[in-house]
Amino acid sequence: MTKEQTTKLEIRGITKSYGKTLALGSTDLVVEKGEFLTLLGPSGSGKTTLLMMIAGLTEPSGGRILIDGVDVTDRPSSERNIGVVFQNYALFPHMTVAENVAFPLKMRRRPADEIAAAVRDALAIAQLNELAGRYTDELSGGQQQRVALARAIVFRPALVLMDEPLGALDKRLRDDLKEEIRRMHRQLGTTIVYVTHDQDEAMMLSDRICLMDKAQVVQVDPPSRLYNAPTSRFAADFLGESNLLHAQVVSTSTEGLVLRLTGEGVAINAAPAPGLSEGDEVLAMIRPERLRLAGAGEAGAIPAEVTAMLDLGGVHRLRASLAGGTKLRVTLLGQRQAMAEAGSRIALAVDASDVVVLGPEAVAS
Amino acid sequence: MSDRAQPAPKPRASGARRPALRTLALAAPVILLLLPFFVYPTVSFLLRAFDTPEGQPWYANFERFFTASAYGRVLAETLIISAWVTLATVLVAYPVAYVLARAPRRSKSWWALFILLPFWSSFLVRTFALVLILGRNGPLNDAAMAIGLVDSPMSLLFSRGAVLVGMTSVMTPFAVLTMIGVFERIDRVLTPAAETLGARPSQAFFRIYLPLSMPGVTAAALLVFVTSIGFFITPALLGSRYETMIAQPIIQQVLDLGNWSFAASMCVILFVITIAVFVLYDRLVGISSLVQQGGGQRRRGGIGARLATRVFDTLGDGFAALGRLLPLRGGKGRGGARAVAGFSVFVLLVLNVPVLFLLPVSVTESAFVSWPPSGFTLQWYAQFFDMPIWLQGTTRSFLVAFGTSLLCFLIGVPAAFAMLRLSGRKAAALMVLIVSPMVLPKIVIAVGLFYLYARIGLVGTEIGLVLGHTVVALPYFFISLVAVLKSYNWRLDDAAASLGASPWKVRRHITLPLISTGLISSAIFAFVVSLDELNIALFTSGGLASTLPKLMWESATVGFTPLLAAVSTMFLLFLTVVVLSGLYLGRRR
Ligand SMILES: Nc1ncnc2c1ncn2[C@@H]1O[C@H](COP(=O)(O)OP(=O)(O)O)[C@@H](O)[C@H]1O
Ligand SMILES: [Mg+2]
Repeated sequence: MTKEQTTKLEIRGITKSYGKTLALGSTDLVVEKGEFLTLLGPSGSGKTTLLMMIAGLTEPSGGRILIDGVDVTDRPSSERNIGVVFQNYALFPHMTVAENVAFPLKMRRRPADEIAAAVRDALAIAQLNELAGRYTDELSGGQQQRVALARAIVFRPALVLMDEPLGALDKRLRDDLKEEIRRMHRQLGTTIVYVTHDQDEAMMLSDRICLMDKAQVVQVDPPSRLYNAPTSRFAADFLGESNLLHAQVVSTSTEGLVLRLTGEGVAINAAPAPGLSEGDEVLAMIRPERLRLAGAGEAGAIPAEVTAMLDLGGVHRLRASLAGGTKLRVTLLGQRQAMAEAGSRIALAVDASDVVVLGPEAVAS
Repeated sequence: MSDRAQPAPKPRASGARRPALRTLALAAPVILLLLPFFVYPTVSFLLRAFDTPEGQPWYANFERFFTASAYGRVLAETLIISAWVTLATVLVAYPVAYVLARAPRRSKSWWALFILLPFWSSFLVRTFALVLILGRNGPLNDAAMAIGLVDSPMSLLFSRGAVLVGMTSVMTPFAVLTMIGVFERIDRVLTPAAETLGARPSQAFFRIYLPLSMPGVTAAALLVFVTSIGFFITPALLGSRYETMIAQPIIQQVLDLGNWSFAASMCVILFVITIAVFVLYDRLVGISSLVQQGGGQRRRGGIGARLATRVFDTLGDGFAALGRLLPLRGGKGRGGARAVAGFSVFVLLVLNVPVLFLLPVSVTESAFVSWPPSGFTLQWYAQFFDMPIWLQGTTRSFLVAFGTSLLCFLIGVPAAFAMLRLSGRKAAALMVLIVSPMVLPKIVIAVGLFYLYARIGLVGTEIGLVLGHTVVALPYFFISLVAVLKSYNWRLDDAAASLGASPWKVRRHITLPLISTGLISSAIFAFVVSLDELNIALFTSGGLASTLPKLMWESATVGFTPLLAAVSTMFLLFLTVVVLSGLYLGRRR
């Protein structure tokens, strides 16, 4: 029963195929009330398909969609009460900004004074008051985006879907609008399902990220967990930079694993991982900024040679090579005292908790 | 001359020291052809309307026209038929254009093909097919009697209904092609967006799609109306004497009675109606939306627009309310889309199938057209090849069509390049000059040319036919070519030049190969227009230099025969092959 109260949207085994192309494999997903969930993935991974099925604009090939515990799979879009912000805004060019924003209320036959008040509020939230009388093709991209947002929230839908709403804007505008979407989400408390292929956007806005690839959901987790504990090679690769090192499990214990890097005489410690045993081939994932310069005489230090160095002010990016030829990316923050030139020899260290072990299935992929 | 051999394509053409002069040189040939062979003859002929005998006022011809009740009836009938045809055409063409604009890419080319085939196939032949189908012993009556719908054949021909059906079916492809440009620019996401905002499908259509599609609808209505008022083929073949349209007495006055002044006064009336319709259109919609479609959206304040919005909104809400009452929930409202697609398929069938009935009739053994045809014989085809008059007419038609496309090519290509370098008023003026023969009643142009040719001795000459056909075909050639050039990526030329190619080599190795298919397809369309052109030959060929359409027309006014079916079948087959190759080349870009 408690589940009923906190779940906004539940997707059960939804799939979509166009002829032989699978646009979305069987997908399950639960979105909580007030949550900001982002669908993140490369182009063509099925994000829009999933979103449009939630909106009722694409008919699923199978599966059910529940909103507030009610099955809406067979309900037409006009009766789902979902606000949608489309990729290219889909503003009505023959209507003014105010008329665009008033449209959903007119469709709901609200009284005129109520419409006027709601439109005024929505325009204020989107900071559009001065533009109410303009036609939409007289607006800049950023302004059009705001109108689309205002139109999608003015009827207080319990669920708002956004498909790459910032995709067509330049970077500065994107940053501004990101802030605004966050503010609006907090202010209104709506549930938002947001689509993007931009990981920074996803990391900044989301409560949870649903990572997608090749028509499948890969991992659903809060941003920090997705970054720090990816469960697949794709997740590790797609989000941020990573070193993916082939290794073999040497020993397992309750304190953790010992791995030997393939082709190197080096062993490293890793956090305990269930289901692995001695001799397994695995991938060790280490973020570049989790590698650091080893203290003098530190146990388990990895000797390496610097092959290239980039000084970015507060940050130094190194390329390093181990004795057996394994290449590493290292990002050092503010460690000016011991900066290594290209060609110099250094010793690297990493905490066991910063080594993520991906099982044999990741090695194969 | 060397200037024209290497036309500089862009307004910012480098190396042109006197760009204005160069543009003028490019536009000169077209102006030098259209002024003496279109503008001057039309104007000087129309002025004859005021040329009255001594002692009569300048308006004597108009007085005669408006006081004789017979002419008043003809004028009224012309306007009534044209109005009904306009309404029917817009209603029939709208769903087809809607489906065509939203069709997925793969099926789209099929839809387009079955609109373009009837558009380019002969007006005359398509009207013949209707004469056959609607006839007392035609397939329609035959079928109706076979299934016991009627006991004796209905008389479907020679009625206003038959004229309306005939003109509507000829005009529908034209209207679809006029609408499609506007429809395709309507963002497909808008109606789904409206539905997520709470609009039912009918509300999304009436409140969003319909208002945005109106510029296309009004443009189509305008062009269909002004084309219809100059029609004579359909009313003459499918109508009775009550369905006489104003072009018919004009022909009679010129060809049978030699009364130029009175014919001119009727042409002036036709001309004034055309201009009035354009002016009215400009007031209500804005003429600019005709030239640069989609720009019409900006003029949103007009009374017409506001009234239309009210009506559309109410209609949409009404249908939505109706939909809520009906217990049709399960289908999620997609039944409407299916009905529209089904209707469109039906329209395409009606546009394309009738001409197929000509084939069986052309091989009938009977000397009269009857259904079902009896036996099998090729004697009618043999007869065609035995009769010198048909062969000569056919040869002449082909020669003239060839000359026409060549002339269109020679003057139209530089003009198209000039068009690209011009903007604003000058571009509009050049466009209006070249395109207006398409929207003015052709009969006015043809009679004007006859009037000129009679004085300079070009009547009955192939040169005269080529010049006249070029005036008529040039708009099609020009519009098609400008579209090709506009979509051409001129950066490619810059790239080639930056790689060291001289301007001549750029044209030779880059530009021409890339636009050549577009050029050829444009020329093929000019060829087709000339081949099917009847008005010019009707007046200027004299008794001697008849073209194929003129022979077909004359023979049809006497009666429809299996021989004519055979000629039509061959003509249609040839046109189809030519048009298909034109379309194929036009697509390969
Ligand atoms: N209408 C359609 N017809 C055929 N294939 C489609 C259609 N829409 C999407 N697809 C296919 O489905 C896959 C997923 O598309 P989409 O959901 O748009 O991806 P994303 O939004 O993640 O870029 C793609 O391979 C795409 O080609
Ligand atoms: Mg997408």
